[in-house]
Formats: sequence, C-alpha cells, structure tokens
Amino acid sequence: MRVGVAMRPPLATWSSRLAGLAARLLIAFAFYAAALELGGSIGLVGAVGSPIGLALLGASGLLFLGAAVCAGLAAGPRGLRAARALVLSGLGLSVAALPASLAFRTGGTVAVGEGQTLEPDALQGLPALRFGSVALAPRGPHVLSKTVEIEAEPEGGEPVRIGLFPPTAVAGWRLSVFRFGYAVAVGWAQRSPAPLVDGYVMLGTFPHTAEEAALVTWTPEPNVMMGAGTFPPKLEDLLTPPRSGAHLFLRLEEATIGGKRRDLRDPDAYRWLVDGRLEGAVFHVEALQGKEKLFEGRLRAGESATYPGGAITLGPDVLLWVDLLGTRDPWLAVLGAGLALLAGGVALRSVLAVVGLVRRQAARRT
Amino acid sequence: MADAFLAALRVGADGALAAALGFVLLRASALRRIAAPAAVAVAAGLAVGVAAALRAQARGLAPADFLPALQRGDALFALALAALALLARGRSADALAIGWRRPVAEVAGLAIGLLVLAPEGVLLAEHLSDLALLGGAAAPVWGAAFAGLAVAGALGAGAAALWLRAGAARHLTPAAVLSLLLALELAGIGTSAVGAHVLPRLVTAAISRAIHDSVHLLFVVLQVPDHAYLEDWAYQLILRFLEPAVHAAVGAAVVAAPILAAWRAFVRRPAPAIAEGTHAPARRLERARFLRETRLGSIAFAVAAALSIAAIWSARAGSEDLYDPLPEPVVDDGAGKVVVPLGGPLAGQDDRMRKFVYSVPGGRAVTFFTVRRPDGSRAVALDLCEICQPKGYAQLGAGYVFCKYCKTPIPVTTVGQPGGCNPIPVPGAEVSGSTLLVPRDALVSAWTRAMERK
Repeated sequence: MRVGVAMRPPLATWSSRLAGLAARLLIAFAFYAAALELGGSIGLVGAVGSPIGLALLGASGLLFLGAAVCAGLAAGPRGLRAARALVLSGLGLSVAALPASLAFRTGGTVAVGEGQTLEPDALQGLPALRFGSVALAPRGPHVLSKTVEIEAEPEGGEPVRIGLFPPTAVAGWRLSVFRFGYAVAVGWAQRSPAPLVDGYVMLGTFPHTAEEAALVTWTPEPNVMMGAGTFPPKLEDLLTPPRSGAHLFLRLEEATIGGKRRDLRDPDAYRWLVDGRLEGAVFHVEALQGKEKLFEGRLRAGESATYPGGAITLGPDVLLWVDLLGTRDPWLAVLGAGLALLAGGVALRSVLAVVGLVRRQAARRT
Repeated sequence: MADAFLAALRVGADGALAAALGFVLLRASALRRIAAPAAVAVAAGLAVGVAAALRAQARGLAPADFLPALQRGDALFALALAALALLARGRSADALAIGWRRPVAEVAGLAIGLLVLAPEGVLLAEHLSDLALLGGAAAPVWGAAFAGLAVAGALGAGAAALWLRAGAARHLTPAAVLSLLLALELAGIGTSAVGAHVLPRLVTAAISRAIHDSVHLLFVVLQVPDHAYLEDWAYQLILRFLEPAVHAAVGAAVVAAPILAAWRAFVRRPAPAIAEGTHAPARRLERARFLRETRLGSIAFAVAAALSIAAIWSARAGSEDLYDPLPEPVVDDGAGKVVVPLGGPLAGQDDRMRKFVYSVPGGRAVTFFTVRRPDGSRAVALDLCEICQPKGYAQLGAGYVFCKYCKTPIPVTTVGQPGGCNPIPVPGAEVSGSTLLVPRDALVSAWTRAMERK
C-alpha cells in the first residue's frame, strides 16, 4: 500500500497551490531580510517588523491557513487529511503570529516594594495589587538557578507569586521580576525641625545631577551582567530633597546574608546578594548642606545619630523592592497554538507513516 | 611587476571563467545573440571599475571612502545571483528565450556580465596604484597588469572554445551557471588577489546576527531572565546556538540551499517526450542519453555547492583566539577632550584592539575601545552595546570584535555604525599627531544613555 495524500481536485489542488504560494512568500521574505542585513546592517528583528516584512509574513500565514482549510475539507484518508491540515494551520498561525506579536505587543515596568499596594491601572487594565514579601534564594525551580519572587494578591482574586520565569498571568498581563533592590526607612531632619525625609528610601532609584554626584565618592560599578535582567542591586544612593540644599548619602557596607557576614564593599559582593535577605545591615552615612559635610559615619539599621543641625534615624529592617516587567501580547498564545498544531501534525504524520510501513511489511509477509 | 601581473591575472581569471561559462551557455541557446555582448560586458565592467577608481583618486577620494559600499554591493550581487538561480531553476536557456522572458533574460545576462568584475576593477586599480607608488613608476606596473589580463582573457577564450567543442553546453542550464557564478563570488579568486575578499565573512556574520537576533527575540518574547539566573546547563544549551561553528554550518546550509533547490529541479525535470511508435531500443537509448545529461549536468551544481560550502566554512570565525586587552586609564585635558595616547609602550600592534577607561566624577568608569578597520581608519566605540549586558567586547582575529556576553562576532567594518549588536559608537573622535582626542561629553552621555536603558 502506498502512503500518500489522495485528495480530490479542486480542493486538494487549491491546498497545494496556496501552500506553494505561501512558501514562496516565505522565501521572498528570507531574501528580503538577507538584503536588508547585507545592504544596510538591518537585522532580522528589523526585517520582521518592517511593513514589507509584516506584509510578506502576514500574507504567507493567511495563505497557509487557507491551504489548511482546503486540505481539511478535501477528500482522502481522514488521518492524512488531518495531519496535513494540522501542519499547514500550525505553520499559518506561527508565521502570522510572529510579526503580529512584535507589532502589537505592549509592555512596561513598575516598581513595587514589600507590603506596598499598587493602584489600579498602574499598567493599563491591571487591577489593584497588594504585595507581600520578596523571597530570595540561591536556588531556583526548573531552569532557574536562583529565586527572586514576590507575593501578590489582585483585588478580588487569588494570591499569586510573581517570579523570574515563567511570567505570571494577571488580568491579561504577563508579569515577571525584572530586577530587585533595597529599601530602608529613613527619618532625616536638618537645619529645620520639619523632616526632609520620612519614609522608605529605595536605593538606586533617585536622580541626581553630575554636580550633585560629585559631592560624594561612589563605589565603582561592577562591570557584570546580573539582576533579573540587568545589574546587581544598587547599594548606595544620594538623596537631595528639592529646594533644601541638603544631601544625604547612604551606602550599604556590611550585612549578614544567608548566615554569613559579608563586606558589601567587596567588588565581588554582587555574587552573594541573592543568597538571602540582608540582616544586621550597616550603612555608611553622609549628610551635607551644600558642599559642607555635616555628618559622616557608620550606622546600623535601627540606629539614630544626631549632629550639629540635624538628626538621622534608620529603620531596623532593610526591605526589598522589585521592578516588575509586564507585557500584554495576545498573539503569543496564537504563536504557541500554532507551534502546538505544527508539532501535532508532524507527530500524526509520523505515526501514520510508521503504521503504513508496518502494514506494508505485514502484507508482503502474507 | 610580478605582483601586478599575478593580481591582474587572478582578477582576470575570475572574470574569464564567468565570461566563458556564460558564453558557452548562451552560444548554444536561443539567447545566442547576447553571448558575445555578455562576455564583452564582463571586460567592460572591469574597465568601468578601473575608470571609476582612477576618477575617484583624481578627486582625492581614498579607498576607505568607498570600500564598505563596494563590499555591500558585492554581497547584494551574490544575493541576487542566488535569487536568480532559484528563479531560473528547472528552466533551460531556450525556455528563457520565449515571450516576455527573453528581454528580461537578456537584460539580466548583460547586467550580470557588467557587475561580475566591476568591484574587482575598482580594487585592482587601487592595488596597482599602490604598487606604482611603491615602485616609483606606473608604466611597468600597468603594463604587467595588462599582460596578466590578456593571459587571463586568452585562458578564458580557450576554456570557452574547449567547452563548446566538448559539448558542455548540453549539460549547462542557466541555474547551473548562476550557481557557479555565486560559488566564484564566494571563492573570491579576484577579490582575494587584491586583499579584499570579505564576502564569506559578511555572509557568516549576517547569519550570526540573524541567529543572535532570534535568540534575543525569544528571550524578550518569553521574558526569560539573564543567564546569571539560569541553571548552567540551560545557558550552555543556549550558547550552543551562538557558537561560530554552528553559525558557519547554518551559513553553509543557507548559501547551499538555492543551489541545491536548483539542482533538485534540474534532476527532476521531465524527460523529453518520445514519439509514438518509437522502437524499444531507441527508447532505451533516448532514456540513457537523458540520464547521462542529468549526471553530467549535476557536476556543475555539485561543484558550485561544494565550493560555496567550503568558502563559508573556511571563513568561520571561531577558529581564531580572542584578544581582550586590559583597559588603560585615560584622563581629559580640562577642555572637553579625553586624551588617548596612541603610541607608547602599551600601544602594541597597530591593528590590535585597545581599551581605555575614563573615570567620571561620581565613581563611574566609562570603558571604550579603539580598533583599526581594514581601510586603515580607526573606530572608537563604547565597550557595550544597546542590547546585551555590559560584558564588553574582545577582538576576534583582525576582522571582528566579539561580544563576550552573547558570543556574536561583529565585523570590524561595521564598528562605528549604531544599532543592534554593534558597540555604541562615540562620534567626533579625531587623531592629532600620536594622540586620539575623544569628546568627553559625547563619550559620557553615550555611556549614560546606554546604561540607563539597561
């Protein structure tokens, strides 16, 4: 018995024609992308995202889908028709969904601290979220080597955990931890009884000018890739309350992480930061008025210091904050479905081929 | 003089082979009226290239000004040959002479003839001018070059005559000739004679970038975290896709694909119809003749595929060691320029990458590097790109810088161009004596902008 797709024209013919045309469009896209790359150093992403690339891939996907419909409706053995329809529809969905995903994907980041509640629509359509604590661990599930995850409870929904990978689905958004950092409660008053700072300070998030930055000595940044996406957490920052002329510099210098006392000034300190939360943290603190340094010293978390003209209090705990990366990409599910259909079609076709082979051999023996 | 003769001979041989192949194909087909013009077009293309180079020299233009454009043009020409081989697959030259296809085929034939040696003409003229300058006399150099071209032309004519006599035309198809021309471009007989053969490396680099972009795209779409947060086995698996040998293998497959598709179409072409009533022995003879033509015709495709694959594979980037110099500290002159001494004991070889680190008030350290391009100009770029984590670059051979994070080789010729995997350029650097002056604000602001996006 010969294994083959015996389809009745014209649907079978139409399926072949449409699939052939779709394949030609894919080849045309390959040459187009190669021309952009060789002629203008425009990469594959640029080629996919360009109008011509979108048109070629979109048209190819639609033609594959048309071919799949024709193949499914054509006459012939049910299994073979199904396999061909699955492969073609999988190809169609995958090829069309890839550029659509690139073109219509939306994303954004939002920074949240432990215990903080995120207002609704921080990312469009995202409900209010109440966050719990951040978990750090030097081990991770499945492909991850480390754990950075935060508890979150959507308003009126079940609590979820948002980690590094895979992203967690919340109200149409796929959320994952992009990076994390430290926050310490600071009370600071200087030249006035009114506090200049009274709240949590998220290290590494404050803007400052070059002139302000030159007031203090910064630790050289390690030239490494790390963080859930980017750099190691920032361990220092300079606060400059508006119109005060005052500056407060905080640097985490020492802490116990995962049961070990660590010197965070060590250039390799970034290696330990995911081992656990900071305990018994010690800060280097500088308070300035203009360029005049009024205070410089080391303070443990939970300690206070007073100096002529001012007072500083640090909270007892160093909390964590995370930058959440959110993306909304309805076409990703389509892409996944396409790949699944493609895999299913190939598997079915393989099974049918093996069954056919076995039957032929059995027929020969008899 | 010997240099000039050999360079011209190799450039000429490149064109002579192409012209002979085209002539043999066209002469025995319905397109015979463009057989001679196409061969003449090859020589004309060479002359046009030489004339353009001499004119550019007269205007004071340096080779560096047009070399990148020439190389891009050469790469696009090779891509066009691949596309035409694919389009012409399964068709004979006679089939291309029917109806609307005839003018298209004739124009394409003449255009290909003109373009085969035009870039080599420019490069050969530059090479000969350099030789004339070094030798102190132009006439002997150009004389030797003309002799080399004449010998090559004679060899080409002889080859064409021999092939015609041997009946090679029966076994050649337009797709086979286009595949062979593509293979000749990749082998670079002419361009390597003048030290400018970069096409296989350009192709491999393009494939590298495409694979690298795909991996990045997958990371972005699936929100996969960086490798520091992945199990080592998972990241090692990903790195497999970023190995130069894998890229070269994919590159070879991609380049061979249109040739193999054309070969497949040739092998599967329908056998000629045999008249009703033909006796069985005659039928068998006809069938045997068809099979023999298929076997002999396949030789051209096989040679083209083997030559292309070998050219791409031999250009793979992974066979060379990485050179990653330590950054040398540099300071600014107080007037807005960062002063980079190009001489001195740390200078090393002139074509080597050098890294520098400039300390910005506030503790930030800006690392940048300089590297010399093949045209002699010096590129200045930050030691980071827009996409990857700032692990920096190393030099890979003389022709590439290599992203240490994503393992992507970047051609030195594209360092200085913005975007993608290229190191972020620092505009406005200028050489003053033995010192490179880099605008401080441009350097720091480029670095700050890039780091803010990380």
